[in-house]
Amino acid sequence: MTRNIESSKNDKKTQETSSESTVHYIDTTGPAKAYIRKKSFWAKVRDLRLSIKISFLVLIVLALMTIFAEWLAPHNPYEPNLQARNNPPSLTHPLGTDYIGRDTLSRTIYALRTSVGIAMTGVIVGTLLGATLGIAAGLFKGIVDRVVSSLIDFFYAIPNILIVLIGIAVFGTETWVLIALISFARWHSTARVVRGQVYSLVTVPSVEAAIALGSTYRRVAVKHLLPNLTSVLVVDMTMKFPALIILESTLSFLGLGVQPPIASLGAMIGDGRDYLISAPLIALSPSLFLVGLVMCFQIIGDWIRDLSDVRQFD
Amino acid sequence: MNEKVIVRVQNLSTYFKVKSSYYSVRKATVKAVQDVSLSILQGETLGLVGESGSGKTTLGRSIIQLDTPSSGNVMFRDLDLTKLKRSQLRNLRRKMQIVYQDPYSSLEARMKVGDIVGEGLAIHKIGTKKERIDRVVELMEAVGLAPDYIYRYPHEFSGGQRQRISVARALALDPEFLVADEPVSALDISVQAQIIKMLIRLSEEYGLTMLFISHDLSVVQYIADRVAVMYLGRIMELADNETLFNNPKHPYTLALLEAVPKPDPRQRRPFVVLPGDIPSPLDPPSGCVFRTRCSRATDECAHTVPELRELEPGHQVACIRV
Amino acid sequence: MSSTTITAQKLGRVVLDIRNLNVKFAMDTGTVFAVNNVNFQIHQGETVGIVGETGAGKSVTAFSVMRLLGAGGKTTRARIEGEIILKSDDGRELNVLKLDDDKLLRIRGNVVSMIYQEPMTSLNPVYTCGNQIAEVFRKDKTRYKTKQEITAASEELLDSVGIPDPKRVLRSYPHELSGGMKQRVMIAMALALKPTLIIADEPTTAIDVTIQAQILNLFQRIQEDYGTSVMFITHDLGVIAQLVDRVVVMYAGRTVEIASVYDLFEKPLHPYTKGLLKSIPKTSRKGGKREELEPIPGSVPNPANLPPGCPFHPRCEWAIDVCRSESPSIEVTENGHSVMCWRWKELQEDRG
Repeated sequence: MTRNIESSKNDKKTQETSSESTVHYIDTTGPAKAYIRKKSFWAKVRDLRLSIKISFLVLIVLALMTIFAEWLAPHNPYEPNLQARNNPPSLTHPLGTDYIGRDTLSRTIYALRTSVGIAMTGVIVGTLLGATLGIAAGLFKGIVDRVVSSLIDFFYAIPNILIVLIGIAVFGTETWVLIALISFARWHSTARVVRGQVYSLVTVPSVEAAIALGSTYRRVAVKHLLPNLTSVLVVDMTMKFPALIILESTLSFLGLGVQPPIASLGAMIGDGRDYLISAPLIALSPSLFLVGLVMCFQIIGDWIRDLSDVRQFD
Repeated sequence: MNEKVIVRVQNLSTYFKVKSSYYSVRKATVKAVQDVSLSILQGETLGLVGESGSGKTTLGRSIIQLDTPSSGNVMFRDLDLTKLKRSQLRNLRRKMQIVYQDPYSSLEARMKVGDIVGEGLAIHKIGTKKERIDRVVELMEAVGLAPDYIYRYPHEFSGGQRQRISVARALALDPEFLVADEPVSALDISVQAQIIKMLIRLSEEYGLTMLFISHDLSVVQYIADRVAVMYLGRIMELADNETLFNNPKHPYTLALLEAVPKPDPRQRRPFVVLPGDIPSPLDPPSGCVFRTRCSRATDECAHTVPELRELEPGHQVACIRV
Repeated sequence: MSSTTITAQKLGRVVLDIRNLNVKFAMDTGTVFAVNNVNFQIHQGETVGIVGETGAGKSVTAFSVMRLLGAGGKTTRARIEGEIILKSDDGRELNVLKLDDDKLLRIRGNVVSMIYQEPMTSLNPVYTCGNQIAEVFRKDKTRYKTKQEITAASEELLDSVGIPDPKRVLRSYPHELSGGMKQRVMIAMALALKPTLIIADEPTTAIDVTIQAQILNLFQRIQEDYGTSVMFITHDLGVIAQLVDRVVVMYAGRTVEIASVYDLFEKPLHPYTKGLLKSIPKTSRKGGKREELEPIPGSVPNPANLPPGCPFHPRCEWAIDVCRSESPSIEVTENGHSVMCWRWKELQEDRG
């Protein structure tokens, strides 16, 4: 059913009553929010709470350390030096050496990188998995939802550690196993949160309108659901990261995580356990990094969560 | 007006399962639409009126399969919508569109207006990018909005303007059938009139068949060619505009028309009140759903569901006491 | 009923006198004049309708009368100026805006009470209706001392607002009642202490038409039986026409027209009022053709973003230069019909 658009457009101009043709030119009052003065970026930064500013700073420093580990670490973290065992801090070894003479500082920096790397992978994979399942559950509902919900409940019921331990027992202690297991460790928190959000989004007319237009579910998920999920996902990812770091550290501490000579924060703490009196820095310096990392993420995560609660789009 | 039937609803029922209370496991059923049959003629505007629980919104949505009917079928031309496969239905959606009630939640806040209006075109891969932009501009002008608004975001617009955007989006795919679900109820009165006039103009220009759902009788009287009155999921009366408003026969229609306050102080009279409350659609009365409030109800009304029968050509009433 | 205008002699004594009311909200940039130079009076036994669309300032005016703006009635952002004088039955004159908190608490419910738009959210879901009504009665310890007195009074009250089976309703929680019932309970609570003035803020907007008729019927009975004055806020011109004695039309915080309901519908003076009346779909068809709707062009203004001069000028087909630069003053005709427009006189004479 085609119409000649051109002709009716011309007709419209002549037969339109004056009230209609002036409508949109009266409506050019501009954006409704024009009267809100925008604060400059730096003004907003200045307004932040001190704890948040410090957290950001710490995280930036740690991030730089992780990226530039090669340049920052003064020594090779894997190279033993049996002459210089358990040395106290000195000029060449600012944090001393460990029980086989490796430089503690370098080792800590590399440990940081390992832990962050593993946790980051876990966050990304876990989020991808959890978000996909959560969206599927919310979009398709029915059987899919029941299966996913049961899985979520199951994973919530069983302690993280148990799942990972079983995995290690079955698959061994290679690093890839560790990474895989940690990735699966917290997918369910994302899935639950995403599923809830999708459930409420799907009833919102703007999302349903896309379905009414004939969109496939996949397109709806990508173009309509995901943009509205970002705030929820960001909070979840920010909170998941410290959880995974601690999980990895716990495992490595127990000797079930990364295997020597690879260093991770938890592994170093485990190593340093025996030398708490003689060479406390072996355990202390990674602990400090660990605590700093986790705390800062928690603070930032809380702040982001507060932000997204208050934010409205109208 | 072409007398051809474009949508035929046959014995349509839509039920929803809900939890009967917060703690219970057992599900209760909301009988939103019960055994509704009607035909919509090509090019006409059918008004659907009712109060809360009447099922009018659910009926509109069930027709275009946004809510899946529990039984019955919906013929769109000669295709049964209830029996289509998902991909076929998706394709057919080009022909049937919806405009929602709430202008604030029906537009994706993070998309530019131009993308919102053109989304249908993008979904069905119609035209090149340039052609789509041209079409979007055309639509914006058709609904009375300046073309450069396509680069703005919905939150910059008022309710009335947003509804215009919604209508533009619905028209992008050149549909034959449009369900307007209370499109003006959330707007200020001075803006309602603008949108109503625009809808009338567009339905004539584009040859649309429209199902206009509203609880506001004066708006429906203005815009509709024929009107169906619903109560608790069933149609009580169906007639053309003049007949329904000047010569209603069903007790509910009569009560409804009496209850609307007329904007003329010279015609003041005490409000004639229909007693009682609207029953819950979880547990509608047996037989005629209106009998609990009807002044003419008899015992028989509780036993038989009155059929929608034709009193005179074009005037159907579901009441045994007429 | 003939279209007689209500002259000053026919009106009873003044119960509410709003003088030069200005309510300003301090926003991030600049001040928003939610209510701008509002003056009107409500007389004994009269029902005054306040009509307006979004942003007109009608709710803010209503809340100001009871000093309920903001949380707990106090907000640092609202600045209220002017006088709101309540004259109670025993002749006392109270300026609501200058009362101290004690006195304010005492007049609320007693001298002036309020009914809200959403019965769903205005009743406390964790207390029974009986409990909430009793709370109102407990304010007047002289007349309602014992629990039995309160219960008896509550039952009688619910009966008077047409609730069948008051005992059951008193025992029920709000969520167990229908919307119409909840609204009746709210009206009952407002009537309990027989106040001089009831403010009803869009009480029927969220309700179905047939239930609305019941509530409006109730209001009619209240007018006849109790003689309470009512300030009825709505955007529904049909309700105004059927229920109200005088009308205050508000636009962007100003009272653009005040008249008796008959004068307003038959001889509207302000372009906005005229436009509104032409925006209502007429419920009659002449020979199958629709009567033309003439909508007001443009959108309802954002109170934070008002143009200079008359707030209505961007949408007014009769706007001239002075309208765009200077805000019109309010002029009053002989029969108490007030209008805020530079050109009302000439526009009136033009009408055929």
